[in-house]
Amino acid sequence: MDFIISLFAGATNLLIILVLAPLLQGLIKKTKAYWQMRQGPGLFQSYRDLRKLWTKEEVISEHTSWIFLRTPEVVLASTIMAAFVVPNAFGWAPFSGYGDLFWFVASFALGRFFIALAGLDTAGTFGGMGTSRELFVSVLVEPTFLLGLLVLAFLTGSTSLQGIIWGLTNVSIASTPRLLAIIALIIVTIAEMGRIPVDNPDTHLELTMIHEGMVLEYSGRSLAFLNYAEQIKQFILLLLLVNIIWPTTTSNGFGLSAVLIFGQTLIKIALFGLIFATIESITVKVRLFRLPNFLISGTAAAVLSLITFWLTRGRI
Amino acid sequence: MSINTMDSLQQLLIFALAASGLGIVSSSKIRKALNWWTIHAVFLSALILIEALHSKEWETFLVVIVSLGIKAIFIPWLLGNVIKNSHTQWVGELFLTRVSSLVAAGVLTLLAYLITQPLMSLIEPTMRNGLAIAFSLLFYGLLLMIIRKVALVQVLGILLIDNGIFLAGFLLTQGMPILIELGIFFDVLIAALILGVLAKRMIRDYDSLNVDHMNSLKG
Amino acid sequence: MFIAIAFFAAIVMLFTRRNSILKSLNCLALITVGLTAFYLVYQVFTAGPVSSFQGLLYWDALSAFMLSVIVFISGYVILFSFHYMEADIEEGKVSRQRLKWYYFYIWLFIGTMLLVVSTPNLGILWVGIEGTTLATTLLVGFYRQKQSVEAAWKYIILCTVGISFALLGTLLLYAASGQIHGYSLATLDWRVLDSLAKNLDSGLLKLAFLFALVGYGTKIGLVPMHPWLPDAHSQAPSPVSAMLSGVLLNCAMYAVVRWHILIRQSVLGPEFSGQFLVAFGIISLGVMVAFILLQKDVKRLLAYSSVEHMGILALGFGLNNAVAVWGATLHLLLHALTKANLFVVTGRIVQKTGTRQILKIRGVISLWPYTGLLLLLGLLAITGTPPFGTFRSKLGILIGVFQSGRAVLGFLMVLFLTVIFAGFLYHFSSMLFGKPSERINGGENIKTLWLAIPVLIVLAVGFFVPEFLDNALLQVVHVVMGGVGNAEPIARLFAVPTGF
Repeated sequence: MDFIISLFAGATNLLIILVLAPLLQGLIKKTKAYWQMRQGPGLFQSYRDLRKLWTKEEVISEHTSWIFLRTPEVVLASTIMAAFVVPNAFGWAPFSGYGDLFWFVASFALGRFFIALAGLDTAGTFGGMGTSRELFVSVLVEPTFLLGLLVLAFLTGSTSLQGIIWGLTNVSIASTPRLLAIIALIIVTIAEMGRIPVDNPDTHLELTMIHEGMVLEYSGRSLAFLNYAEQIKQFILLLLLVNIIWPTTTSNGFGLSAVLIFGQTLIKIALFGLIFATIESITVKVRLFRLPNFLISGTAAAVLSLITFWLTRGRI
Repeated sequence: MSINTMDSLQQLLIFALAASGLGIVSSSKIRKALNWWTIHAVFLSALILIEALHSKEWETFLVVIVSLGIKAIFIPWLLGNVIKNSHTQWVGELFLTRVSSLVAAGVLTLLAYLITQPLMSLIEPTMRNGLAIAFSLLFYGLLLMIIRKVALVQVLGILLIDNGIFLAGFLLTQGMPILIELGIFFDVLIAALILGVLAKRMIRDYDSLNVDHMNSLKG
Repeated sequence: MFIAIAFFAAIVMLFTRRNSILKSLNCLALITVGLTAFYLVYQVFTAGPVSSFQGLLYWDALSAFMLSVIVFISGYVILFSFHYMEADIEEGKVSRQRLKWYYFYIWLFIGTMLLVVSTPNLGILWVGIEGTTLATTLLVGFYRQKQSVEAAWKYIILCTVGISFALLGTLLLYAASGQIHGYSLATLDWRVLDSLAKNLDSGLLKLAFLFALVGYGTKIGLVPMHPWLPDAHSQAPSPVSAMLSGVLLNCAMYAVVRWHILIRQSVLGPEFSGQFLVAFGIISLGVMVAFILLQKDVKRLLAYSSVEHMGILALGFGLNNAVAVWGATLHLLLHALTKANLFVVTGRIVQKTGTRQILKIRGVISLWPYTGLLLLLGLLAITGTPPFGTFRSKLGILIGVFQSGRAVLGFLMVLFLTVIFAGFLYHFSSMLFGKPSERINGGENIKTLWLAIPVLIVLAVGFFVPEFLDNALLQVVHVVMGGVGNAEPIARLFAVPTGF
């Protein structure tokens, strides 16, 4: 019985992520428009964009190989794979087990690997440039990501994301390792979402673009896949961050209270979207060569959180 | 607030104290160093405030008020005044620059952890690394005295040493008896005043706060 | 009571500008402080320790002894200040408006020192010692010259940093004793600590003592923490130098001795703290030989000599031997008297010749015969020439050294003292005799001779130790040695003179 409930809850959770991801994107765009004193597109514009791209015809370069063709599916699939282990508003993940924080990070890495290959595959200048930049960023981001999650794992004694979220309810928010890990994860999230000051998702300026450079050759349905994958990634990253900063867990996930908790989480995610959009509006993108400073401060926070964890516990 | 949260908050503040101490060491402008000092003093007062809320003794509250008033308000005001009079923002990096002094401070922190090992049994487990950080603050102060040549930064060094000792006392013994604690605060206050006066005279006589200019007395 | 009087006097000094009123106020304050202090000292030595304010203040033989030294030297110096500051004002070195500030700081200084020797609490002792640093900093920088700012800066920075370590030591002691006795003000009271001493954690105690020794050692000017001392002592106005060398160093030494007494009682035994004192003492003595021989500035010469004598004191107190402690106690008194006298006399000479360079001062004895005589007496007294009392006290320490079987130490000490004697003789003879510069007018009043009072006392002690002084010294020795051993007969045997 328990199994069925959790399966049902997991499926619902996945469905919610898939449905709401474009909405979050719309919200962020709307917020940025507000800060730029524009009307901006409507909240549901992202859905319309996806539908439009879905029906459009694709243009594919004749020099490309199967990698270019398969990459959109792989990226979307790997992102959904990552979504499987992210706990929902009630602290339950569709799948959870030992070491699924590695699963989470590795899923993203898989998607990144393919998208980077695809960027090279077309042999265009922008694709190659975007790939090289993306890998440069990922070198700094991925260790930080893993380390930050690992400290939380040490802190809670569990390597599954669900276990971490449950464990975190007993750890004070003022606890130094947790706070530093949160700082590290926030920086990682910004980088992974491809937002300012790391990357700017709105421009196709050749000097600055990273993610957009790699997907420049895509069009039509493939582009819809990639954009959708990007929106899902953004949603689950924020969901995870919300859960880490402010976990809500409950064992009986039915009734009015469940709806309240669910709504609460959605509001929190929206709030984070607003905050990130605001940050994006009031800061400028840093130069590529300045980027390591920003990302390294995230790495430093993660390392310090490990050290402080060691110091406060006296052991790892 | 639960006990757990208070403990974590205190730990957080202790780490913040170390961080702001490092901030002073790594500052390249006097004004910045002074700002770090102000933050440092506020953190220190906050740390005692939590303890005061915990123990609910009026003496501890008194210490909070006095420390906030002297260290976080009066001393920054006084030194800020002197900075305004001087024409330089230079901190006098003679031996070590920002990065290398941070490395030195890091090494000193490790040293502090080493030498406080034997004292650890005296403190409740949650506060253990506080003692090491108190000693590191002391070391940072000494380091500043050695590697910086501008008078005001040396004053900050002295104050940092004092804070380190204060923190160690706070963790080891819940603070000295109130009479002695107030005496120490009074001494710090007067010392800061006198150092301020001397610094002003230095600006008048030497037109600089660089202590290397004062080298006429030898042998 | 007299602490309050001193602080009160300091504040009153600020209200007036007229020199004559200042003078009479000073005399009044001196007389009241002197009388109350004398009454107290008399009580302590005849009827045992006195305490007041519910035990917040407490005097035993050692504190009473220090108290009398402080009061006597302060009185002497303040009386000399009248004349000295007058001359400075006439020369235009100091403006008349700032005179009251001078006396204000002086009385603050005296007040803090009185506090130091009146409290039985090691924490308040620290506050007092730090207070003396602060009170004297602006005195050191009283002349508004570049060098005085430099000296004052060095002084406050080094002493404050050094003394922070003493605070750390006090803290560790508090942590150790608080475990047993609970954390309260009384836990740092040495009357309580003495009874706890055997139970204190030895590791913490070791650490605490070392920190305290380094901290207060900076204030004493023990090598290698001495670099501030010659600067501060040479740049301060001469009466202040006399106070610094004569009593302030002794106050810091008093703090160390208090710690030493405590550590002696503990499980670490009498040798632990003593060995450090002896080591610091002999090192200070040895290093000063070179500084004294090569010195060109007469006030710096005297300052270095103070370091040397503090080394001798540390050595004497550090030995676990009653005769040595007896000698050190006597030497503390005699050094204070002699050094105050010497600074006062050189202050006069420096003021008259306008230079501190030894080479430029010539023929003092033919220009100003009385001052010259004073200087000669001072020279003989400071080097411990018989029949001066300093000879007796140094001999006491030496006997102690040999009695405790440290022949090499004794040999080194004699060697260093001899070379220092030669150095002093060389420097002073060139100042005393020689052909005076023609531009300086000689001649002076015979009244100057009142300045010789301290050095005459030193001379007198050389011939015989009066009964009350002997008594007092033995009581102090008893306090320092913690009442152990049958030291008394030896000391008495040595103290009763058969004439030299």
